[in-house]
Amino acid sequence: MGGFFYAAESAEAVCEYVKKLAVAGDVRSVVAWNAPVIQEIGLALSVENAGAKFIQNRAETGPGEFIQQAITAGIGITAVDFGLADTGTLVVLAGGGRARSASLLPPVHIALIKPQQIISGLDDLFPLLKAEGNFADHMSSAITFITGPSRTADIEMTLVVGVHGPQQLHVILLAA
Amino acid sequence: MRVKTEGFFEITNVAVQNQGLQTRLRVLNSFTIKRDRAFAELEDGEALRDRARAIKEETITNLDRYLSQLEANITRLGGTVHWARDASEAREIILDIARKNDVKRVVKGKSMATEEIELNEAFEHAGIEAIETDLGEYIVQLAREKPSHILAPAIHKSKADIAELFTDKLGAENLTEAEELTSVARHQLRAKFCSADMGVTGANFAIAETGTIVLVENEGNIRLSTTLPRIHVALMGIEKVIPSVADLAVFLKVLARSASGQKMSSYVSLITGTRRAGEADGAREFHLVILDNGRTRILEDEELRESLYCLRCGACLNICPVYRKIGGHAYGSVYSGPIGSIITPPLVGIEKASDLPFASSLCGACRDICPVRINIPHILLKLRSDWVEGGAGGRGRADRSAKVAIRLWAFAMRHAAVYETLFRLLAVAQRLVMKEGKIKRLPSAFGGWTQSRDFPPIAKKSFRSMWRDMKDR
Repeated sequence: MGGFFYAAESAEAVCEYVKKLAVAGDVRSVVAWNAPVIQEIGLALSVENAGAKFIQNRAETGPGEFIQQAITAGIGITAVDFGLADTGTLVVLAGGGRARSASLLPPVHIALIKPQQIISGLDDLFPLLKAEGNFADHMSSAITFITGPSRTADIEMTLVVGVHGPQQLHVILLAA
Repeated sequence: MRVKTEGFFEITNVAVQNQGLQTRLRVLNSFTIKRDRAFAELEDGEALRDRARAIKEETITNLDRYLSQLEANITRLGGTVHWARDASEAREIILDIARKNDVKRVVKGKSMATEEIELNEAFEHAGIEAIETDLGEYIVQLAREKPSHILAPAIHKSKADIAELFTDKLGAENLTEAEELTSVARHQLRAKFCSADMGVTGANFAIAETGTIVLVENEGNIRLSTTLPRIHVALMGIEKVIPSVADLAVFLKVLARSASGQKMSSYVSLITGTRRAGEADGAREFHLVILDNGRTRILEDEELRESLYCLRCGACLNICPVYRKIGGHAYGSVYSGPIGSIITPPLVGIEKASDLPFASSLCGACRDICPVRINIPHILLKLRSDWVEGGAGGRGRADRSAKVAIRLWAFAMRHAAVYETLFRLLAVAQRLVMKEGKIKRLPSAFGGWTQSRDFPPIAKKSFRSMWRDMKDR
């Protein structure tokens, strides 16, 4: 689907991969979800070692603060809620600390997925979401299915990857 | 909705001669090839299409119930539902929301419904900047033209046209490749997304069970339009509601495959309510405008009703031999191609779009490819008969001489002896128009037939007489 897939064997491997991307893209800042998996891997340190600021989606000091940070960031790092194997789709639920902008504004999106999050397809997804309380009272404000980086064929049907959304999508499979 | 269908034959003549347009329309082939491949790799694509149709049938038959459920759920979650009887009411509702909230700049996702109500013009008159953000729509807006295809609005423009346009309107020089042009658009529009007060989109689906709006795209402009501005307004026709989340799985599987041959488009957004406390982005205010604008007329008619099942995938446009020759603009309506030909006449009144149902060879390719199996040729015939016989707003405009000719023909077909004699006479008379055994030109009223092909000659000895001879032997 035009994305990059990397199966990491360890937390260190993940950090290396992210650091390489940050250096290659001459990235000054990285925005990330405030998610446990991101803390566990210790990405903050690697990103800072690569010379970039690491900004987590925490309580804001001013309205639109995180959005502004996401606008200038070179990379956005998020976890995912599910991965759909049959279409290569990431399912991402918005919430506190899990801003939509992180997977949308920066030109590079890195998504961290655990093996147990991978399910076969849409038919399995909706019952699972329902079981977790979604589609009832604890509905997420935005559930986004991401399949590859942004694309268009509006100009003479020539496929161009990278339009308004991210130009690159990296999916990192974490060790179990 | 404004339509421009006078001079249909002149317009289509020009379109067919336009070599540039013809070259660009040829690429639609690839959509269909990809679509076929995408359906072939499904375990049971046909069952899925049947299921999709069944869900739409159930929904449309009980539309009031599902729309009520949708409204209740959206309201419960803090959104506002508005009901617009027609285009003018819809424009007023949306402008009102904009005025109340001191909106200066609007970013728009691609939406046929917003074209239908001519929303951009309304914003312009009200002094509000409304920018199309889908690349194809952005191009078409810069060129001050109308979109010509549901999926690829700028398909009628060449790369060179677009490069020239960008130089002209954006001052961007020396662009040749699609990547460069796209990059310019990304940069220009980024600033608009970040400073817009309101995002306006359509809705591919609205789930009644949960009050969720579903938006499907590849570029990311819809995600941006619904994430950054503080207000989100979605406009949708009454027919876009679906009962439940489980139904969405069926439609998502057929929609992208039907439209562009993708298994899934790059982004699908399921938006339910506004941003929750503690979230850093997402709209703070959500409005759903539900549009009638003639759809209840279609709903009331048992034969026309299934045209409301349409998913707006564009597959029928891509495969239609007529669309592929004349392009979208020739139809003079927001909705072009086969689907446009069956919904435009009832929406605007058949007398304003009477040429459209006749602009078809009834090949049925559209019906074969439609993911929800709308019987388009059947509806085209119904609209034709409405127009000719004067029912449902048509004015009984059958050609006098055609009526007489058909009556005579019907008589001959019912009386074998008359039929035989007629043909024996014609077999002799045809010598007057034959040249080297071929009929290349028929006189006057029949001349239309021979404009581009020969007329088959009548055999010297009829089959019946040959049969009789055989039997006698």
